[in-house]
Amino acid sequence: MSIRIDDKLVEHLSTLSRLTVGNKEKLKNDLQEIIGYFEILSEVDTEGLEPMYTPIEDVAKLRDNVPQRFDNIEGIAANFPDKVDKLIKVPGIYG
Amino acid sequence: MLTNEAFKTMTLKDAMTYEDKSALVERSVEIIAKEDKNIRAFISVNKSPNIGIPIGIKDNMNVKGVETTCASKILKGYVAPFDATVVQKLRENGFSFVGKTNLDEFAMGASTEYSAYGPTRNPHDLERVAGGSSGGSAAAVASGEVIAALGSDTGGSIRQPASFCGVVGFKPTYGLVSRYGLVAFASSLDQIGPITKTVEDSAILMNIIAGKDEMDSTTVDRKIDFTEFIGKQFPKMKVAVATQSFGEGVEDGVKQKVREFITLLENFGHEVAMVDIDDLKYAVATYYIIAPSEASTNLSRFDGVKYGLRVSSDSLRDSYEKTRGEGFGDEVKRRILIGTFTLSAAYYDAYFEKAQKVRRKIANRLSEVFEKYDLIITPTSPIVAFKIGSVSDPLVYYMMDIFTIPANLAGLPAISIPFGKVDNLPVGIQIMGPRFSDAKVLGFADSIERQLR
Amino acid sequence: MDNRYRPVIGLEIHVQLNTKTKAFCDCSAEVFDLEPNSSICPVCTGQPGALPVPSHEMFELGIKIASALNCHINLYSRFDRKNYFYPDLPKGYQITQFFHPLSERGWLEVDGKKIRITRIHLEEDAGKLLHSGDNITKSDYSLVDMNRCGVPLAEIVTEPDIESPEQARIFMEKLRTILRYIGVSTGDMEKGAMRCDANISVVDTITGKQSNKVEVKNMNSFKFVEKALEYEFDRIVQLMENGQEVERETRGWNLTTKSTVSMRSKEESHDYRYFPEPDIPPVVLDSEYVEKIKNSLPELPDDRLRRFVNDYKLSEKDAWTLVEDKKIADFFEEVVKQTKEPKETANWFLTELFRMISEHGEDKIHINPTHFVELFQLMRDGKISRNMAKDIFQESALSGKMPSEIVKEKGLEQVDDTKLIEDIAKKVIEAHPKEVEGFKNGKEGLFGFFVGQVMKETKGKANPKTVNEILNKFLRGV
Repeated sequence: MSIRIDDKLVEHLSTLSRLTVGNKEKLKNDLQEIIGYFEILSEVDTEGLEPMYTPIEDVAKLRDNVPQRFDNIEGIAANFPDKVDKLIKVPGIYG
Repeated sequence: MLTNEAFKTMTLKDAMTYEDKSALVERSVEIIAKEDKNIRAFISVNKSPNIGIPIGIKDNMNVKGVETTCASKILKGYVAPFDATVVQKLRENGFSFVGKTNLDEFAMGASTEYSAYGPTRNPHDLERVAGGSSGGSAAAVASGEVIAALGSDTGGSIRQPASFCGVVGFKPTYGLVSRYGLVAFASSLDQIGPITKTVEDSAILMNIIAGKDEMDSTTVDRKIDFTEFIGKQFPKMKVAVATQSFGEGVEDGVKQKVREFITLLENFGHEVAMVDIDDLKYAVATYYIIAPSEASTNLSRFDGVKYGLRVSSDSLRDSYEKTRGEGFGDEVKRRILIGTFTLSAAYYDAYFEKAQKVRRKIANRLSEVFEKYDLIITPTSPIVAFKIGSVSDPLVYYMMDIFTIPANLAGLPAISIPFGKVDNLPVGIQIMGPRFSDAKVLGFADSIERQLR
Repeated sequence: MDNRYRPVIGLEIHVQLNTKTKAFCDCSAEVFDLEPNSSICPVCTGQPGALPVPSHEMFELGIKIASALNCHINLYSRFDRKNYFYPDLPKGYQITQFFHPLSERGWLEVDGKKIRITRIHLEEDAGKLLHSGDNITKSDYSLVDMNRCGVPLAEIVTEPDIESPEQARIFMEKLRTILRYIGVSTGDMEKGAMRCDANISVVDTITGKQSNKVEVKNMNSFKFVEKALEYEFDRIVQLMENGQEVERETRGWNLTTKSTVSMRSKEESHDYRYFPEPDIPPVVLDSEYVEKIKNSLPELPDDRLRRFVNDYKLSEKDAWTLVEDKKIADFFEEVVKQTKEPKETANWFLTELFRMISEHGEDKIHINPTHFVELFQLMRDGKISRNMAKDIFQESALSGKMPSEIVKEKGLEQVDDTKLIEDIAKKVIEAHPKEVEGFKNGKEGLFGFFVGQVMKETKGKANPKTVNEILNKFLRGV
């Protein structure tokens, strides 16, 4: 699978994850080294194996539906970085 | 009158029956004030703690009304609006939250160097790291600043710093302790556990913090008395030592300690065999695909909209990118990008899905070993505490997790207990058992600890 | 172009489930018109450390929809994360079911055609964004209300089986009827309780070529579903006729311009990075439990329609008008049970009752089955005329008074006393000798004049049939 990490891929990944990166060259090299190392897995025969998304073997227990008001809504609102009345203010999405 | 020295060595077991709890808090606050300038185990210290048994809480767990920083700039100023379930339980059991302990940013690291608040120093050698990511909790316990502490363990983050700092660190079976209120790093791997001075203390803490939680779908309903085998005569066990304990990258001093440990076990009458668990060589790659994948999406919520840092801008897109670009440190960003890569549609099958299958394979292999043996022994870390700033290659860093990662991948209980020193630096031995054998793992570790004393 | 071009339409419908709580937390899910950010908690606002726990009721309602739409229900289903950044999505991902949906492979019949349902899965709703200024693209800031975050949704995805914009609208209307019948959602598009996105492509039946698919969003009423798709169909056909490429894109229906406009720049890559939600183990349903819920469903609209046509001998059109609103249909059956006159009852429903409801609103109408029984009886007994009955019905409906009471109060009862009418008729004939003469000389039309005079004398209360009989006797000697 030998993948080459180039500027375009790094650009794409940082766009998808919505973050600016500093030293792009170092980052590219780090990613190349790390992701390159993952190739060791290609030698593992995983035929017929179920992916193990979680160690939990039980099935989900569904929650009963009894509405309950959270007792510290003010605590949530107190963390809003910017607000207008009770609403969170954010920059325009197309700005 | 409780002296600082007496407090420093006081176990949780003794603290629980110690009548003057306010003296405990006073000693703890005093020692932190004195020692933490050097050790830097704490990110924040509670100026007026409630009366109770002083415990350190890793700063990726919520204590209502107190800042949760995850040692990241991006959460600066965030005041948790609710208690983590474990914190709630400790509250009910008379503990005092004297401070939030340092960690690698969002628990991503093995040295507590990747903290926006600077590294925590190893109490055994201030030039060296305390390990990580729960380095603050381990150093706080090792230095006697608190009676005990909670850490979180995703790939060794409780056990490795415990080993570096010469204390006990226990990672329970996945699902026994609620993660509600623990800021998620990798949800299918994260588990909260105790860091203590003795194995018995870990068992005592487990009895307090474990249990099915309606707020966490991944907790299981199992009644376990974690102290069941504590202080008991332990029967003869069949113990497997992974041959990988003597493999490449393991320091000679550490290898020597493992040999001594084997001799000790044999002297105690246990049956020890060397077992080649070859699939372990895939553990690091598997882990470093799965953990960043989950982390990349767990950390999406830090976007400057609802809480924490917001770098303002005219456009939302720009605000997102700058907030996250400036708020996250390099290691966190590296892992977010790796995880974004391994989950992206074009690479999902080759990386994420493949890794989850290899994970199954590793778990199956470990189960196989447990069909023949009761426990698996390895060193906790291939190396002892290294000098602050001495490791810069991320992959070298990742390789240090080789022995601790398998327990997280398979969801197994594993403990690190101190076993002497190499060059005056503590070495930890890891004991791993099958799922839900937590009481047995603790009991076995306790029997050895007692015989060593 | 006429029939040369044929639209191929598939729908993706989001239905807000009217559960008591949100999908993954205990917050109340009744959030419409609530004070902003007042039904929120750590879970639905994505606080660090919070975890989702799926609700029981969400599955129950999801199973109901799946059953009503003839879907296969997967006993094993799982949640996944869909990752994207948007201020109304607090966690930066939506919890949905991508790999293992709750149900698959169903159908809904519209105009005699089975529209196939691909899948129905459960997911959480996002919050609401309010934009400053009147245009989202021009506003310099937005405001976030997280009340709706985490309200459970069922997403219904159809195969591209729909053959016209009109059929798409009818599909949606029928779906709403079903949702209301089974009580899982208000299905109110205007309030966002049901939302519809459509995929449309166009086939040139001569060349056999099919255009690229265009996704159409923001159609927040049944009418707009049809209008937007009509517009989009015309637009695509135009492009095809001109030999231009139809771009694969997402377009939004603009209410003011009555047109669709491109919503996303194409260079923006979308990669939702779906993967299994590690915070929620798989959900495994008990087959008996699913059976129990299936069996709890009420009679579905189509079955009821058939019954109305067969048992009450109503036309399909009339029957559907009654069936469409479950409350009306239930009431209709209650009335018929007592009047035993389905056709007559249907007539009163389709004309008088519907008119009153549209004029006064449903909550102003206080009519019950006994009103109908009495009204019909009064007519049968000849005590009131059909015209009088309409007025009485109206008053009964608004006041809740019994028809007989109204008749008595207003003295509306028909005079059917032969002796009295005879006396009056005699008086009328005596008072109008000229007209009598004229009538006898062949002016047959004057008969009506005499009837009118008698009615006038009795203030309209005389039974017209009796008046006719008596006048016939006196004037014609029959």
